[in-house]
Amino acid sequence: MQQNVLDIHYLIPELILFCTFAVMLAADQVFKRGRKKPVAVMGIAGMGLLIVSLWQQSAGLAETGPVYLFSRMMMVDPFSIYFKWIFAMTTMLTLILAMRSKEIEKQNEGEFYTLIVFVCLGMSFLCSSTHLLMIFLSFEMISILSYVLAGYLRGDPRSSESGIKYMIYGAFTTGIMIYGMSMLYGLTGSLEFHEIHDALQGGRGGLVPVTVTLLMISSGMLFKIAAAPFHMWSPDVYEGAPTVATAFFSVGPKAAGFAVFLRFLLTAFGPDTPVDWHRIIEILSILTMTIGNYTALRQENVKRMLAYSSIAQAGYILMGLAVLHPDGRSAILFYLAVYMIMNMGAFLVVLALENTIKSAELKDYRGIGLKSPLAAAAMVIFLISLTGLPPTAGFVGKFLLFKAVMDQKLYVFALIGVLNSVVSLVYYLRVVKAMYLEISPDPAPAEIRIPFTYAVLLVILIIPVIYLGLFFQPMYELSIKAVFG
Amino acid sequence: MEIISLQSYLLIGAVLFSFGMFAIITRKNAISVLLGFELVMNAAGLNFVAFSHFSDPVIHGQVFTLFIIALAAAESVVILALIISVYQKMNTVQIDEIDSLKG
Repeated sequence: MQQNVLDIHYLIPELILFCTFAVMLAADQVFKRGRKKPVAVMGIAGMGLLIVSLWQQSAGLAETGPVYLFSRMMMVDPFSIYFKWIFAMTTMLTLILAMRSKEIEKQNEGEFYTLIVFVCLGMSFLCSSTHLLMIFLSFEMISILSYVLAGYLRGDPRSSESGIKYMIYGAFTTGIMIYGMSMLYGLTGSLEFHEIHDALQGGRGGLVPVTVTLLMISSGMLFKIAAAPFHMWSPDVYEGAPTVATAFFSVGPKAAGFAVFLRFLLTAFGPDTPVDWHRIIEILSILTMTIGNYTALRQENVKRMLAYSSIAQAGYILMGLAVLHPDGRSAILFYLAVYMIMNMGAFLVVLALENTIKSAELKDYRGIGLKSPLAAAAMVIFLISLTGLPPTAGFVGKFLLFKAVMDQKLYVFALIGVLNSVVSLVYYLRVVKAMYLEISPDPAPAEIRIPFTYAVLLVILIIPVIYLGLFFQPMYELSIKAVFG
Repeated sequence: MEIISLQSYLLIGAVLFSFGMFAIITRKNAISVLLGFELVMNAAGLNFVAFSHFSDPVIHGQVFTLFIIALAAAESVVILALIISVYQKMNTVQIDEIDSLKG
């Protein structure tokens, strides 16, 4: 008990998040309708504080090493701090996007900002949990709020529909996951990762029941990262949800899902238990990227296309998990940070254009290259990076993933990944072609103005995409440090 | 002195789970899907209590069940609110009729 109280200073980042949330909730009641921008500014300031406190914590952790909190319910280590950085940045970017989004402005926008910050709290608990109960709680924290965020636009039936579809798939996978957790508890007699690992290593449970249990628990996590066979929700939800929420879903909860999936597989199961889970991940990875890429080929809506593209990206990231080597893990961490920047950037362009042309259909993107040169140029850079071509950060990220796979002599696996990247180029280039080579039949808006905030943010996001493509060493060392401690 | 064995509890849990999954997959009415979800959650809760009672000296599993009950209630609130919001727009809660998004 005493130890639990003393542990609380390791929880300062989460406490900052919670205080930000509470202050925003109160502020939302104070400010009048239509004048809620200060609420978002408070959130952004809170995220700034969070990043600083994480910095301090990581410096302090260098001396003490990883720390278990609250009777081994959760763990503070470089791995979780790295992910919390990603979450803080994602939330900050999302709040800035939401401030200028016309979709959100029509609703009670204060609640939207507040909910985003609370999801961030859930994500930071999820990435540091080492206990099945903790996973379940933070999982639900993210899921329930995500349903609300997806169905946020009360005037828009498509938004409500996306909310309800998210909820049905979510309920389905959460149900399977929680039942799997109960089976794992029965088989191993514990809820804590290390005890589960020890029990499994001792051969408890038998191979078949443990494998089935693993698959059941994985279903919830595969749902979060939108990997096959639980990816069906994401195109519908991404298309119908407010674009700001889509940008957030495609990065934040996905990264959180990867964090918990990595920790669960590596700590609770580990490479030395009888279950051959990396084979399963390998198959899922191939399935996910192939389905994502081939379905993206025939999409006419850019938001929907980006949804399938983010399914494919989840497939590439899973490659790093199928490799039973720390190199694969550090490649995943590197790629997730890069993916956050480039995917947020692509959605930022979609959002900026949507504010003016009120559409995300590919046919409405014709001629954008002349009407809004900055947005079009930024989109090209982000899409090149998503494909994985040099000299962008996406190239380095993919290179590290493929290299980790090649080092393990999984040549066929790596080849499938490379071929998939080639396929992805086709649909990314369709957008570029529409923007630059096709002429819009309706010349009505001769020029599309994007808000000043978005223009600045686009430039800020382009810089790391190019910079990390050329000078990736510091970032790479950071991701290695997060894996090895 | 156990009158009811662990197997009986697990059997009931498995039956509840299957019924719940069946409802989630086959039912077209969103409310029925929600009911199926509740069944699945309770199946897991029952499993936890049973395992905890028979094989865990500490009551971790029973605590887990308390959380499951609370969270299932919280989730129902949000889901029902979403269903109402959809009903107001589309005048239906049949999932197969809610299909403006596809491709």
